[in-house]
Amino acid sequence: MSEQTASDLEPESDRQVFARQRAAIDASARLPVLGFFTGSVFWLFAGTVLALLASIKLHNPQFLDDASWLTFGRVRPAHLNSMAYGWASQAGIGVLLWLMARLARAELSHTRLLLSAVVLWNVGMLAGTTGILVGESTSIEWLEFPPFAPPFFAIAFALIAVSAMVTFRNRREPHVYVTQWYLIGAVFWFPWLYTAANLLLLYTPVSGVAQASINWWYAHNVLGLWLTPIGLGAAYYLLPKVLGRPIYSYQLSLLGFWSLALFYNWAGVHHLIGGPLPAWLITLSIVGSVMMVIPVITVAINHHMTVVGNFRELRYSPTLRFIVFGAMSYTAVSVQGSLQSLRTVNEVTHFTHYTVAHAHMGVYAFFTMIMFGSIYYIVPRLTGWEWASGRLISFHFWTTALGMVLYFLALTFGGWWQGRELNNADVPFLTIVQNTLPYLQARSGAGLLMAAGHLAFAVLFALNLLRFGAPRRGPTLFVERPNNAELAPTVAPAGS
Amino acid sequence: MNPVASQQPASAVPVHSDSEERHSVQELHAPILREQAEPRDGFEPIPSWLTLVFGAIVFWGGYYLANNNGGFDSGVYDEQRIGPDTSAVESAKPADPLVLGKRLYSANCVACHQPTGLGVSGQFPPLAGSEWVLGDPAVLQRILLQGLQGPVSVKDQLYNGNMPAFSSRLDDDQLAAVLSYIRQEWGNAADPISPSSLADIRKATAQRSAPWVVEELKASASAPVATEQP
Amino acid sequence: MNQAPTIFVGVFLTFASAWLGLVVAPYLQLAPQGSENTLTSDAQGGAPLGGLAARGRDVYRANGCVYCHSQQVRPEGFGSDLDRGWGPRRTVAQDYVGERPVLLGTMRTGPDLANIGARQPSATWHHLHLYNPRITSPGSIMPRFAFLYESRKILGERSSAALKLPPDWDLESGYEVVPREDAKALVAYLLLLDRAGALEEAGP
Repeated sequence: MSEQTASDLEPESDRQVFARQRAAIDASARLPVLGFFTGSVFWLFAGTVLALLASIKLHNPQFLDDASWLTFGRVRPAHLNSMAYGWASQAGIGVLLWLMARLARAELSHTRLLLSAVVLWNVGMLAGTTGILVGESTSIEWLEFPPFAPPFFAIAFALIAVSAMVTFRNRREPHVYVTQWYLIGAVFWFPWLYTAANLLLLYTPVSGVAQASINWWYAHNVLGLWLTPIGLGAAYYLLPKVLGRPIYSYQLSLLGFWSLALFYNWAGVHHLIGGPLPAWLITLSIVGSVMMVIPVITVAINHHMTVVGNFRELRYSPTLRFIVFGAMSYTAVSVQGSLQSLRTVNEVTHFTHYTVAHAHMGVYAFFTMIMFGSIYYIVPRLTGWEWASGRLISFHFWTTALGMVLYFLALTFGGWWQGRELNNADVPFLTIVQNTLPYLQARSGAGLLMAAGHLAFAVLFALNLLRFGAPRRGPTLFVERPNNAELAPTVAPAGS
Repeated sequence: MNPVASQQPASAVPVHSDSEERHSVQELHAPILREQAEPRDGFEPIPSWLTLVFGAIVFWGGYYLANNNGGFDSGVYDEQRIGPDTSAVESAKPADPLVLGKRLYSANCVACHQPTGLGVSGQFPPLAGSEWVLGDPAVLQRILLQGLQGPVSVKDQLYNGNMPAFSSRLDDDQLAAVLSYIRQEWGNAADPISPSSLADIRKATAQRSAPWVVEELKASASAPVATEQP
Repeated sequence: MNQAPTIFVGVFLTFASAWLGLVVAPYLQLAPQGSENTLTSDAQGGAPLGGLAARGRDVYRANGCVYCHSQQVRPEGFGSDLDRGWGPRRTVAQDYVGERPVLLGTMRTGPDLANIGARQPSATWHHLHLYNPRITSPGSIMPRFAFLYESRKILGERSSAALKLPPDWDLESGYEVVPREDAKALVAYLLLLDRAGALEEAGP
């Protein structure tokens, strides 16, 4: 059934009712979600400072090299954890909670517990990040926080999961929309990942290389089964929401979700190709990684066909522009990842800066940009205040988008060349190092661009919370629509 | 999942009036009122070409797994086929001993003696223009085989370090290659050293395990040793 | 239609499959190798580290050496690890028995260190390199670990442990650089990194 008639959309009387329902839902979500967003913006800032430090130190090793707490080997994991758990996870949790409530058509439950969770999460972040800088890092990638920090996150997440699941149970909306499948997955998968990994690697560590397999099962799944579902869930909600069009195909939604759930899990050990692990384990992860093409193409088609014919809207809507950028990046980075897991490609790219570019394509170009778009949509609904300046949002977009493109080009090209030279034993190692320098410098330039964008974002966020300036009428767009016309709900069926 | 049914509100008026009174309904309504309807599903079918493509990928996955699983044995590290192309060529031993010698030098010597052959002042002696490198091959080969420690003068500078032994780490071909390389690099010009002369000296010094000191070195090297012409 | 039970069951089963495959199965297959040590050398792999070297491993962990240095040698025909002299053979699970955490690393901004103890047995070299990598390795981007060393006034005799810095790098006269305990520990650890013993499963 592909036809949607006008009566299927909200008739005028129902619009009032639904609006009041949404208002109540948004009101219930306001403090916890804004709490997580505020935490996320703080750690975006801290993580950016640490990123710039790390990047500069690679091509200028004498930069601030006296202090032990600023040595590259500590700053780099502090950056990763700040971004992964401080920025990305908190933004994701805020978006997840709001989406859960909205799609359930039920108010967010246990909001006081959620406020405790905000505090616990950020205290954990502070403790963990400081711990890394003073020399207590575990040196286990993506789990560097010393053992005193994870309990904060475990407890906080338990509270978050309770709220999310009770809200879901209270749903007034019988239909479970695709976004909710992804979010239910995320809420279920992350605690299992986090608890198992911390137990098996930090608290009662297993011996030997089994750790490596568990480590990368965990780390890759933080991307694949925690951040990715939130990002995709947000895109699945906001693309049709902003455009007023249906998602192209329910069948593709089903295929995309279940193939992701099945295959993404298995991909983690591709970080260890060529490493001291049995062949069967490596092969299974390569197969899982290549199979990921299936959900990725599926989702790409689904999203693309939802938006097609409406790309002119990217001119106006910040939400749409960030999210479309993010969704397209998801397709690109995932296909790249599938290729990278093939042994012949991996032989070149493993151990190089190429993989760093790939990682940032995922966490930044895909996830972070979708989070920016989501936050631009959600916050005015929680604060009742529009964004202060469309031009500043535009500045945010262009600096981060161009910064990310420069980052990707610099380290992808530089990393590939680095890998080719590494595989040629006649090229002295220090020559290879020297050859990477211009690319590392370009990456610092990209980082400065992105930092400028983050600053703009933080300013906009603060201005909104503080209700700065005169109240606006209508949404803050990049440019005004001609004749100030609002985007009218589409009544024609998709594809006609 | 009748999308029409999903649009009907379960209750006409939300019962949570407290939250509405706490926050100005007018304020919250502005962005909310202009919202589109909640997202809904379309029902386009999965394109059949997509099913074929995905089927092909799954087939590849099964095929790859069947051929590269190493029997699911924890002791098998190499799947049946590592990439059949360029890598095997690159790892073949180069025929030219000077190329091999340079590669070995980069792997084993460059950290102390430097790519420039100039060493590190006061710490690791230079090889460029060094009387030890250019001089008696019998002495040089012993230094590589068993190592050298204690005071040694190189180009009128005194060093007192520990040159490690390479007899167990490099074979005769490799040792001959790296020694030949350093004897003709950085302006050095001395005859290459053959693997067979290395074999002879290795045999002659087989009893010795401790590193040399300079006095012993010269004594040992001048003792008669049966050698084949290089 | 209430899809919720389907979603929960499916989410559980898909996750459990890889949990079994990537966590449980490797643990069962590889962890029991613990007590068996087929290494012929008595170097680091397999035997628990004693004293100073164990502390050195901790210094390695605390300072994130793993973010630039790997400790795994790839096989013949896959990369140039063996040709670069990074080891006589690829590394296998047995080379990391008893290590917590395993420090395999994923970046080679710097060279692989799996066998650095065999390749660079000079403690002097390691101290110079850690104090300022550019002394031994011009063009290196490795940071200084000068904070592991103490610069102090020479009291009477020069300390026997003091670094002999080349003239360009030396401190002003009357001052010397002495390794702190952590520096000595780190070097002791690095010198033990030698995974050269022959192992059947490492292949030809």
